[in-house]
Amino acid sequence: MTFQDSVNKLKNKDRSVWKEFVTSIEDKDFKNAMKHSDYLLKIYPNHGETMCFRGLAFGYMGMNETAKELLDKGLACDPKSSRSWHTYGVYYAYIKDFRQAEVCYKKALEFDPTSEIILRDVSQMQIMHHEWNDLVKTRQIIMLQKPDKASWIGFIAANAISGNNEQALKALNSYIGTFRDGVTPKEECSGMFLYRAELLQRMKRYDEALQVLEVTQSAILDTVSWTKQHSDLLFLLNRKEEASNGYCDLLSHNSENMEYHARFLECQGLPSICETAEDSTKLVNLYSSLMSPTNTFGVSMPRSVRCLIEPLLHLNHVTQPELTQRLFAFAMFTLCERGVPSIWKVFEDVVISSKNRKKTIELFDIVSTECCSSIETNSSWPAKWRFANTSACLSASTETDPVEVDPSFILFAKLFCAYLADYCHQHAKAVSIIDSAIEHTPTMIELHVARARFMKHLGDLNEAAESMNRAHMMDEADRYLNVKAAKYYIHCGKLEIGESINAQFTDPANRDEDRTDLTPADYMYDEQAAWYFHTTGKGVLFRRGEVGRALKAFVRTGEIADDILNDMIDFQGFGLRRGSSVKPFEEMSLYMEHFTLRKEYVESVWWMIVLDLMLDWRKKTQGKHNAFEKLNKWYVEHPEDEVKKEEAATTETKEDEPKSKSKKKKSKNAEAKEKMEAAHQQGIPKKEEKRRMKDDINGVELIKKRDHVAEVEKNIEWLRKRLGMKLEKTFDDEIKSVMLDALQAEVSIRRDKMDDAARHALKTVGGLRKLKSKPAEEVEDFAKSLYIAQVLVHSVLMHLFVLCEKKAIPLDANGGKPTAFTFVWGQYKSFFDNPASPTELTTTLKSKQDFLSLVLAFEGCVVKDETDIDVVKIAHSGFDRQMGEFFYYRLLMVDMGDLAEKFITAAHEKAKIDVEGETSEQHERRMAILHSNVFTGSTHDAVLPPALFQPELLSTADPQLAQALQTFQAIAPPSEKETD
Amino acid sequence: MVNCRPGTFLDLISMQNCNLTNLPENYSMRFYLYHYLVNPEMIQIAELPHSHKVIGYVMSRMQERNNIQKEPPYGGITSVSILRTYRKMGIAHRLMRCAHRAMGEIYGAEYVSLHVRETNTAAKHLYLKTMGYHLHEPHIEYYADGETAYELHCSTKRELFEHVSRKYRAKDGNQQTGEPGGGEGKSKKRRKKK
Repeated sequence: MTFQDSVNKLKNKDRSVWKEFVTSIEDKDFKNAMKHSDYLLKIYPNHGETMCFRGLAFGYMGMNETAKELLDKGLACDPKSSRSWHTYGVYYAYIKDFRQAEVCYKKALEFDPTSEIILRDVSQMQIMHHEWNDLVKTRQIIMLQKPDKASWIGFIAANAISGNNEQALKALNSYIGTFRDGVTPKEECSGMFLYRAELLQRMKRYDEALQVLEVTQSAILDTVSWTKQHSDLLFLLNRKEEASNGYCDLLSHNSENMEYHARFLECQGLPSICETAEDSTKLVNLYSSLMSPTNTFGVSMPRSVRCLIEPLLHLNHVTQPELTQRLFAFAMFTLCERGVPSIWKVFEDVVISSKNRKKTIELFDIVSTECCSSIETNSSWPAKWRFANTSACLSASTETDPVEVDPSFILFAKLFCAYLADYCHQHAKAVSIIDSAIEHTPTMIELHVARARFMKHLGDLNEAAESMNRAHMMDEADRYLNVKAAKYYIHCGKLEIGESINAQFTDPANRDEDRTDLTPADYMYDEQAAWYFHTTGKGVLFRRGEVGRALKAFVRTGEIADDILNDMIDFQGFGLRRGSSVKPFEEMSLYMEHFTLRKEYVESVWWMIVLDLMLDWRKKTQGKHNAFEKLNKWYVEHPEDEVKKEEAATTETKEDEPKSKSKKKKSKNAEAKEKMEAAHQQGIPKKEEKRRMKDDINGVELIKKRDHVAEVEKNIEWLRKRLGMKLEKTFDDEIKSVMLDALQAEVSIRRDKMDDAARHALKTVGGLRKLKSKPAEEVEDFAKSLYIAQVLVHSVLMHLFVLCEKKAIPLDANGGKPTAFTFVWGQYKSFFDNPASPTELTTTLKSKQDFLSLVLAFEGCVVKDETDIDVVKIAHSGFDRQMGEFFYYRLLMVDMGDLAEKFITAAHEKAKIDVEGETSEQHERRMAILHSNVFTGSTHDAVLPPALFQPELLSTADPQLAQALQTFQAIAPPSEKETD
Repeated sequence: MVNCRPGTFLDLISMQNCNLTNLPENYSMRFYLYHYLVNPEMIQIAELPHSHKVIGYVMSRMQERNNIQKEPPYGGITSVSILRTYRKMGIAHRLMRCAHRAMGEIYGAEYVSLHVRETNTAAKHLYLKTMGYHLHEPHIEYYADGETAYELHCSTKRELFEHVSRKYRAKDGNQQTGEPGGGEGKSKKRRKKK
């Protein structure tokens, strides 16, 4: 039955109502949809399509049960209606069950095999599921039915994605054959010609590609892409001299493009790293001439920052330390002279790319320190480090007198030194350098921004937020500083201050008239600001222990991802119709979900898993234990007076500030802030929040309704898919993938599916063994992920133990071991007895006794749910810090906070981490912060106490610990490096 | 060191993040998709090479023309953003030039228009003194917070760039009835609705 047949069932006069009904659903006008469907069902009580559409409307309104009921009923009335099936598919796609949606669409296609709408929806699902061969078939049917531009592009792209470039090229040529001069838009011809050359290049038919490119040159409007591809092809055909000319053209168009530079250098016959003095000299002279006003290449880039850095990127710093230092000094002088605040970021790339980072850092450190102290003492740049241009760096400086420099030089030099120290995890040093710079010029905003970041890396989130706020106060009209200040406050748990700062830009009073009813939080949601919800989740969880609210925030981050995905799906058809090349559609189909690889989304999902497992346990034990109570209590015992004081101070300074902006705006802000604070104190969300946040800001309802284990399963799948999507896999990713196996085992145990659990647990062991056999050069990476890996190892051993006890793993088959314990111990030993790297050895358990106590304690509280005090005592006796933290993590996952607290306290007492001069209150606070962080084993967010970053304080106390901490430093890079 | 290049589909999400962090005028993903699918060459980005984080971008598109008055094709800069910490390296200038060239060469734009906040002196300096834009007309209370916008125009003919006119040109005699160019603030109102 086709779409038309179903309408034929209706009487003529009712067809218009039906039409209106369908339109009202498309427009999401549910009031009218209900009205029309009421009418139709009264006359035709068994009209299946009407029921299905009505069901869909309920689905859109979030009433899933009613929706499903109606859809099922409608389908039962009309089981052969393509429209009913299609509607069911649309509903499934709406609730993100794309598998079921595809099944329904295909069923609909059975009854109406030529419907374009259904075919398009089927092809969309095939894109979602990466079923490329099926996609080709579907797009072919569409193309044969209606050979317009959209169909052609869809068909060509499908072939190219499925890897059949030959077929894609054939189709493209046929399509190009339909072009008519003066009718076909010029940009379309241009785009298609370029794409043809690209297809040929992908098939490695370079000669042909070059030929078609040259033949169509006059028709290709995008001259930049043309030149790029033309030069690339010449390069691939080893016609380097001609290619070089092309790259020169491109460089004069865009001097800051990395790829152009790299290719240009290759054309000049230089290796990517110059080892010999001859090559290095050539490299340096080359860049010297590129930066001079006239040269043989016809390109002059005197102000290009990349030209300053490029020689450093292609040098061997170990064999040519002097040249490296001189080039660095020249670049640094130039950047200080220009007053570039991101001076560190310019060089960071050189450090990261360096084959020997330690050496590079050492060389940079010597020069920058010398320059810094010279400017500070006699406001001059050392003669030794002054060069007129790049090629002058080839020999020692000829300057004899120090060069007098502008006083502002010191600020940029110090910025560099401070960031360098920060990069090397010497955060305290970084702070002291930046403090001296601030003393010199308190008004330079970038210094405060830098200080905030160093403070954050140091672990003092409160001071970090204060620093960022100072920067924000100096330029209140700047959204960047505003966002950063808000983010830092939210991160350290002062959600209300953070929100009120953010509200300065997102407040209803300051926005477009049509959206004044939105609260700032809703505004952020509408604009898909994932960072806001991700940070809120972390802030309230780590600093305040508000589990429900955190879960809600993470769920909302996930909803934003869904929202963006919906946008992508919506725009697929548009891409086909409006695009003038195949490439955008091709890329979109291939990478539609790649945006979810951003850390906001991925991290939120990891956190949801941890929280769901914990809440599941809490439900199962009827809230007998409450992990975060301790933390909450700490915050209650140390009331927020500190927060309030700071809040008051913030408001005061605000009022003292000269009113640069309009008064109106400010008073409104203050008003809104007051309101929000009042609302918060009374514990009632604002009216708008009520509507939009569905009355549940603290996630109480969410938790009540949520099936935690099912959500964990769903999220494990989600994460697996993301790991598969990554273009480059890191060591960390491999560990994560093993971690997912471990989590799957955990889920199976909770579902009481012991066979599955055993399978997954053994798979985890297999995965870990594979990780262990990594070659030595990956040791650095290994250290980074070691902490997580270790937690994982122990976690899986726990699983094995449980499974052995429950006889899910037959012990006899594993060498006839008499008890579960000895079996697990055997596994443990075989994993660690021959460690792959020294770091691995130093950070693992040291004796059998530790392990014994660990297993016993764990079994005591997790498996049997009994807090056997003797077991805890045994466990205490063989503890180190890492194990304590591990326990903390495991226990929190099963929501046994009291016990977790004991473990971690014991661990830390044993480790005796004391910071000199710390008051007892500071100590307590630090511990609380530590506790709230380490439990996940997620090194990225573990904000560790300052002592952990100062091994010199610890080495005397406990050499073993100090060694472990050194590993830790390598593990825990400044957490926000990648996010600025 | 940042790398400047044409934007791709994979950059859109990072561009959105850059925009959310740096500017008060934000857009949902639909808006970015619209630009990318219609005029992909007119998106230019600056990224950190190792993390692929977008630290600056220029997003532009061809404006809908008023055919009755036979307006020439022209482009509009929708949004320009360089993260505060990466300023003073000439990134905005570089990206804008690339976008100008794409709109002039591929889509035949004769000039490009943009809106800038009256108080944004740094941006005004870049557009008027460095890039060769001139004042077309001011729009009072253009932005949602009541601030005035300057609509600036610039020819896309590259040779003209070399002779930058340093004078603010007085208000143009020809009253333009067409919609103002894609400004930063209000353009989201006209965002693509499906």
